[in-house]
Amino acid sequence: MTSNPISVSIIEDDLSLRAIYAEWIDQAEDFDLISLYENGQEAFEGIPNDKPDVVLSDINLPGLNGVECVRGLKKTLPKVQFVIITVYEDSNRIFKALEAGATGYLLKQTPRDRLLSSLREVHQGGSPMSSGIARKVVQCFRKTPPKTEENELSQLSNREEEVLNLLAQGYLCKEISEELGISSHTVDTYRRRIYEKLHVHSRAQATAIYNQLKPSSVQEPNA
Amino acid sequence: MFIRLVIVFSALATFFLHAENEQSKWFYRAWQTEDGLPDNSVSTISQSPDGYLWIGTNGGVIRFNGSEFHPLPLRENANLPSQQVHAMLMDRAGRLWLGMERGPLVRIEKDSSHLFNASDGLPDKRVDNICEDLQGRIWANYSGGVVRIEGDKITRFTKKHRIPVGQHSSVVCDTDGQLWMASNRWLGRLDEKGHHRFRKFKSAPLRIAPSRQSGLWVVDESALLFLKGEGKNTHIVDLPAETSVNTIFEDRLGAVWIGTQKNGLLRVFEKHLEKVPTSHPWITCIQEDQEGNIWVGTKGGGLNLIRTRTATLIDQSVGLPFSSVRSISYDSRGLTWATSLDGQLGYKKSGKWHLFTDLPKETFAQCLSADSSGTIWLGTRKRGLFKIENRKATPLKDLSSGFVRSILTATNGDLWVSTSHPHHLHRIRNGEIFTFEKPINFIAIRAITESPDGTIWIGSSNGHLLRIDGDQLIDESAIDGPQNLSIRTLHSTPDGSLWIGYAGFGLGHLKDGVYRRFTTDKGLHDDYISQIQHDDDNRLWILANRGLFKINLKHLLAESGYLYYQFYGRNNALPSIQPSRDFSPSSIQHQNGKLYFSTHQGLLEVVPDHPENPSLPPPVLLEKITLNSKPVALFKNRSMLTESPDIVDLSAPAPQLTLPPDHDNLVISFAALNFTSPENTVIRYRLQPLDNKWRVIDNQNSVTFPRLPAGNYQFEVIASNSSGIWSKNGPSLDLIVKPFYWETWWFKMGIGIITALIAGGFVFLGLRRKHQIQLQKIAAREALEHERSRIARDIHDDLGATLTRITLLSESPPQTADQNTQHAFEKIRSTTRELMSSMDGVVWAINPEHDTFDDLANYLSSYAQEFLSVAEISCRLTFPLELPERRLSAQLRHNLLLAFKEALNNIVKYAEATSVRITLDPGNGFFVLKIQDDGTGIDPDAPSDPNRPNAGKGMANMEARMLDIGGSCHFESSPEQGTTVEFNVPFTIKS
Repeated sequence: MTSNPISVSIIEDDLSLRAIYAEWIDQAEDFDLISLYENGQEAFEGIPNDKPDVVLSDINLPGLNGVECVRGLKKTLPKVQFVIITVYEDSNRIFKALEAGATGYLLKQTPRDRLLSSLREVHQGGSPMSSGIARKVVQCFRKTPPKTEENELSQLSNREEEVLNLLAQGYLCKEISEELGISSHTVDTYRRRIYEKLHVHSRAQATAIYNQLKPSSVQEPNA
Repeated sequence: MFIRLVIVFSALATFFLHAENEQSKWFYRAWQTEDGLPDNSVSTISQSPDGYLWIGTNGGVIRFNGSEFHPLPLRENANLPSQQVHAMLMDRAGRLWLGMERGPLVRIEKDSSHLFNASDGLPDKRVDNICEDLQGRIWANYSGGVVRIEGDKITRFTKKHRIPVGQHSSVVCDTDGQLWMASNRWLGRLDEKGHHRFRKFKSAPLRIAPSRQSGLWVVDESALLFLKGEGKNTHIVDLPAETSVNTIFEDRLGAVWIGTQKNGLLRVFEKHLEKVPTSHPWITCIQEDQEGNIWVGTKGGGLNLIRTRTATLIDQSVGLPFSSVRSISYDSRGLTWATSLDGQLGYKKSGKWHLFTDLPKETFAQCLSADSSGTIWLGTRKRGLFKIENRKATPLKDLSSGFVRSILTATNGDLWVSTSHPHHLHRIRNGEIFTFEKPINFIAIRAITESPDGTIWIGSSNGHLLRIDGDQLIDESAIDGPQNLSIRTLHSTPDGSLWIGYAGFGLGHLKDGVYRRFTTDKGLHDDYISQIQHDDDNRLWILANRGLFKINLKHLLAESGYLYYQFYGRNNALPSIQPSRDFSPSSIQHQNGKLYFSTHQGLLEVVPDHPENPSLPPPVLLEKITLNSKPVALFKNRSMLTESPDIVDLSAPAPQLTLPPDHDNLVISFAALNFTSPENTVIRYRLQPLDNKWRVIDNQNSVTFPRLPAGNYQFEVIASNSSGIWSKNGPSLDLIVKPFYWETWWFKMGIGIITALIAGGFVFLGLRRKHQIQLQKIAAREALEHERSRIARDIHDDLGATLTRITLLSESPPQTADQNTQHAFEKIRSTTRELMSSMDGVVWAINPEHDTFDDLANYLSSYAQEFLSVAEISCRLTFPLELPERRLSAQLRHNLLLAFKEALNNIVKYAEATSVRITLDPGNGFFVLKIQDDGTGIDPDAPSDPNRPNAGKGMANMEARMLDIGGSCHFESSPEQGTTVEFNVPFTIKS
């Protein structure tokens, strides 16, 4: 089975890292490197024209940072997968990027083969999630369940919730597929859907928080 | 005759083409559902006196502060059949009126709201508009009826009062207090007695708006008319044919804005009509804010802010004959000339660009300069200098190289030319070429400028600044010390200042022998400066790697300690721009007052904007205060929130907040309501008596304070616009922190009286001193947190990036490397990874951002999972989802993390375990972290194993770590049940 190469754009402000990633991806046969950006602003303007399959983006970028860049681009390019690369495993930052619409993250020091295989995985619908991140996702869904129309779309199904809880308890993908008797591909699909719902949910949450505060009842007429 | 006609026609054709190609000077910024707007159909816009914008949509009303949307809780008001808002009015008393779907009116006051509906006699129909007359009475207009509200009294006008039945009618009040009603084709007057027909027009529905100069604007039959008193209709301008108009608005400049149904937004000023771009062609409402910005609501495209462009990119889409620009100049006739990065030459004549093709084949044009006689001097890549007169190019030989980099035509007629390969500077005076001796080994001269006294300055890419003195070059590079900073551009201003743009080292300033350098550390936008110009209002315009920005010279040269600049980027509808450099001139001030900059994307044209009105610093408001993430104070004015004693109203004058002694994590959020350029607003705050100086906050709208000691504080916040004008009186908040009982006056007094007898009041004095020391401590703690964040960031950004580079570079050793080299590479790789992993822990621990209990749980769980999965040991975590809100100190997190790593390390190395269970259990004042494995256990009686000489040391380490933070550590082990390590950690370290 031959398939089209995976087209990739890279956003990274460090010149030498950018060059290394570019070389790795460019040399891999099943990848097609289509653009390189050194800051968020440029990427924001350029990526809608490039329409890559996967974007590899640094979090810390001069000007428009990686999270804002993903948030803006994901709006217009829902099909593009964003993978965040970060120096340290800082769950707060990573979570912000995931909320904004990223579907994966990698540490910058990830070796070549693992980086490529992770990009393939993301392209094929996988979405890695560590237990720390899973914890934050669970908390996010618990915090505000306002019953707006939009939010119903972002409620987790029972099965998704089950997978998420196992992830938070430290289960690996393989272990979950054994535990629930489903294929690991299916677990992947659940993880991806959780990310997508997280993206919708956090948007709904932002507007819902003010609704939660107790309003005054309007004075009734003739009262 | 025939010939003349042809000329007229071709001139017309050019004009139309030109008009078609010209970019609108207007652009819009849109906010839509993706940005937090509940619905993309915006029906109405108002602004309250405090500065907030109020947006009515199909999904309710929201308060907008320029970045965040706060919905009004209309939904909770039971008797509203729908949240859809059709009309809105901010009356002169500051009350907000909403006209809802199916008739109800809601009046929102400072801290109450009132609903008027069908039971008050209101029609069960949609509200078309609401207006206020000069007596402060409110008129709401329904199809087939009008309602007047005076106080709480409602008067209804119906058919009996000759109110015409028509859809989309409108009622407006003119400046003389006359009420006008437009319905179908009829314009009528409205008074106590009802409706009186005044004049019939041709098209329906008729649209009207009051003029600021007593009269009415009317749109009839696709034409804008002006109507004054009993007089005739004055025809102002024709609109595009078949334009259906929704709304008309006159702004404070007297321009009339017309919102249409399919033709978008139109603007009429001094009888000139132009189309203004918007995010959607259907315009529902138009409003002007206090700063004079125009806001537009659309039916489907959300909210739009309409702005004029200061900077416009001229590229091929508007007629530039090449895709990039390298050098730019204009001749004595005002024609603009430019070269492109690919070596072409072009000029602009009568508004149209042309390529200049009369050059020998394969001539690569690089830079050019025009002199006062109208001659163009063109520098090329291989063929030296050309002289262009009357469209004819003549080569000029005898330069030491064919590669011309920079040209300057001086005011005295001298021509200055720098070449590369070899690098030289030449002066051509009366046709004679003089080549300067090189006092130092400069390379590419890419900057030349002439100061007002006629001195020529040159700058080289290897960091030499030189001055011409007669026939000599004088090296002035030492002004910035011995380091020779690479110079990209030089610029002189009329005050005699020389400005130096460095590659990566900011902006240099030399005047009367005094030199200063400004960098990003001092607030400059960027350190890579490629082009500099100035305008007639004493401002520098700088094009840098990170875009275009403007600095007021007055502010730059004042010793204020902070640089105010205004950035023009996406906020000005500019794409990301790459400045051209390495050749000169690359930017000019044109005789028409405009500035031009060369970029890889085309020509950047800047029409310097008028200096800001200095009397208008942005209003700033306290919006919200939270304590442990729970709101304790809110800006309540018009928020429809209850008068609840728990939540302090920040919109009240001099709000006061009392905090319990054991409070934690106080977050104060505010908003600077600057809609013109929010990205250029600077906010400062101070908390007295802790801060005596103002502190600047960048890109944030909140500040966080750790626990404050008992006492009275005052929090103040002020904001400035990009000109550095600060609001005089920002809001302030009194904070009262209640003392612990041992800090109360009666306790102190009691102790004081008793001990005074015994010990002469030592304790009392001691307590007072303790209080002062505590105050100092808290200020120090705040400073320390700032410092910690900075260190964490630095380690993260600089060290982290470098180490990452090392790991990745060692990933691919050269193909030819032998086995030993391969092995060495591998060693470098693994060592760096280990280093990064331990640094990861350090950075996490010292960064105050991660001081919550929850953060600890997240970090430990991710770390354990990653670490154990590599060793193929399964990992089960039992961490409660809801953890108590506690702040954990850096010391605690650091020691606990190291102990935890040690425990996991032991398991992987020695325990032969297959699974590990980790439990986190919060208690009262302390918590327990338990790590259980199913391995072989530790036999305390076993003879010391030569393979693990450090076995006991690991445990001792963990114990020492726990001791450091006042905790303890227990081990339990058996060959059957494996090993359990339990850390008992108090939340706060007792010292």
